[in-house]
Amino acid sequence: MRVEYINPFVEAAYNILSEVLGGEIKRGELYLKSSSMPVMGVAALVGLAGDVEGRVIFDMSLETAMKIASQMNQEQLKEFDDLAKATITELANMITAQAVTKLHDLGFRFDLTPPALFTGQNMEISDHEVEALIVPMESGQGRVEVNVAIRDRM
Amino acid sequence: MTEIETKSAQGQGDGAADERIERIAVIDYKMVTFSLAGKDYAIDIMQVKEIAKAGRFTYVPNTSPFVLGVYNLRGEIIPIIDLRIFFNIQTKARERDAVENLIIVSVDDQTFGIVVDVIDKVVGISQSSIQPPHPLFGDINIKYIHGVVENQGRLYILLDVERIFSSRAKEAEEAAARAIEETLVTEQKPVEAQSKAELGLSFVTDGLAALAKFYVTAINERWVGERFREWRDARRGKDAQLANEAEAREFLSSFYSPFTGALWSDAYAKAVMAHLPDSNAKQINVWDVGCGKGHESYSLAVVLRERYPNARVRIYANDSDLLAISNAPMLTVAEDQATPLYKPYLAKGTSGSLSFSQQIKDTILFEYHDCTNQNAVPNMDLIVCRDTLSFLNAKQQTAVIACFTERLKDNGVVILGANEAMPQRSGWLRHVEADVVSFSKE
Repeated sequence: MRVEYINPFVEAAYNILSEVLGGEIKRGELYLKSSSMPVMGVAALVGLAGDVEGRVIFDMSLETAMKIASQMNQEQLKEFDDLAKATITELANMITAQAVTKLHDLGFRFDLTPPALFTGQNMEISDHEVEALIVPMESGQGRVEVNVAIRDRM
Repeated sequence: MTEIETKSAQGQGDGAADERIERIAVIDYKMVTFSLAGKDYAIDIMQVKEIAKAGRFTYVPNTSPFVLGVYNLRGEIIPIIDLRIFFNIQTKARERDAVENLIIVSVDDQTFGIVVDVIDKVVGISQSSIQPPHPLFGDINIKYIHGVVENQGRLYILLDVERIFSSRAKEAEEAAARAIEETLVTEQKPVEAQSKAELGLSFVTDGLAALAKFYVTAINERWVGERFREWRDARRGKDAQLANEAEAREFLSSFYSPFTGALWSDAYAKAVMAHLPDSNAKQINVWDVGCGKGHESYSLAVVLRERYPNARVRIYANDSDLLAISNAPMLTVAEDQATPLYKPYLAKGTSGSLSFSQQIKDTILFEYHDCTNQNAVPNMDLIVCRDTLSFLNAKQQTAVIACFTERLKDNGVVILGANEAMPQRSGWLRHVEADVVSFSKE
């Protein structure tokens, strides 16, 4: 993945998560993962198109998703209902949008697709011929992994 | 056949002489007798098609040694087998135009020619006089012997032709299995027979893998061997093993290619330039695997700019070290490094430090990428992978080299580290010029 793309995503994830969750956010060690990877339980996916092609996945466990949704709505949610789903989707949208804005300032042009939310057990996501950058974020509500797999259009 | 065997058989024969004569009187079994290395053998006549004399068989490559070749028997092509070789009996060196005695046998609709020393005659016996083979028979494998027959004071070994020929396929299989076993054994043997020095080298090899993630394979074993001798001599008497990371680093200190982590000197750049093929292509793609902090990529960009002034150069620079590559796009150059080669391509930034011009920067695409994962790159004119393969394990190395083979254009060139080389006989041609070694496809 192009070096210039990394920081905007890391910064955006850090900024947005600190802002909406209000606690201390710790960034884990960045690493690369080859295409196929298991999903923890809840995954929000945002597609990117333009100068690049690829997608960003925000991956977390159902428990973390519930806690984050509760925190963002300022109320204790009991089940992973439409409100909770919409909240996680919005979180994904916010982070990706901020990253794309930062990239736009650097001269890269790309658009995003509306987020799609996946929930379930034992899920795995495979991308053909793309390796993913994993940005692990540790929050008070649990661990969120930002999984960025984008490549330049050739 | 052993002597004891013969004697006891004869003794038995004398004792029951009358009975034997009576038995032979009923002739219900005929056999063709012949000799191999002076001993008498026989084959059931029902399996013998004919007897012939022939020579100058047509050699067939890649067959078992006992297959002499094929022979044209009145329009039918038959394989010719030398029973002496089949049974591991010593044979005389064959004369070029010698005519051999052939027994043509047919087994399961298949015709074979058997080469023997001398064909004797047809002997009629009683089937009941065939005695089972004694396990002590040494000359030939007992499973090919149908039995032993005594006739007029001579003992014939009756061969089981069906077994011999139907086992040919099996024999080949067994030979293949044996060959595999043998290679396994020879692979292990050196370990046992290793001298102390070699054992020391294997410890160092393990040490490098564990302490420095440096894997010794065909790519770098030559350098490691030389370096180990040097290392051992330098440590005279002291333990030559690598005890910690610092020692592993020291061992590898002379491994790295010239100008690692620095801009190439004008001389080195010129040497690399000499390896680049002539090309009129509008687009030149370069893959810089393991570019580190980016010095190598910038040097390359300048070299390629000079070499192909009219082409659009694209350098895909990868590294899996995030810290190193993060700063590569913003690399600054110290004043004293601005040699005449680089000067035209350097510009002073706002902070007053020198860095490469936008024109050069635009040719390089720095990517945080692990080349052991899938490589989505276009076909390349040049692949530069200095001192990177050695830090991948053997399996990864093979995969990455296979990827190079796939991605490199036919007239393309690969440059490896100064102490690295493509494995021999693996489809790569080696070119040496001015201290730089490059590889191209055969």
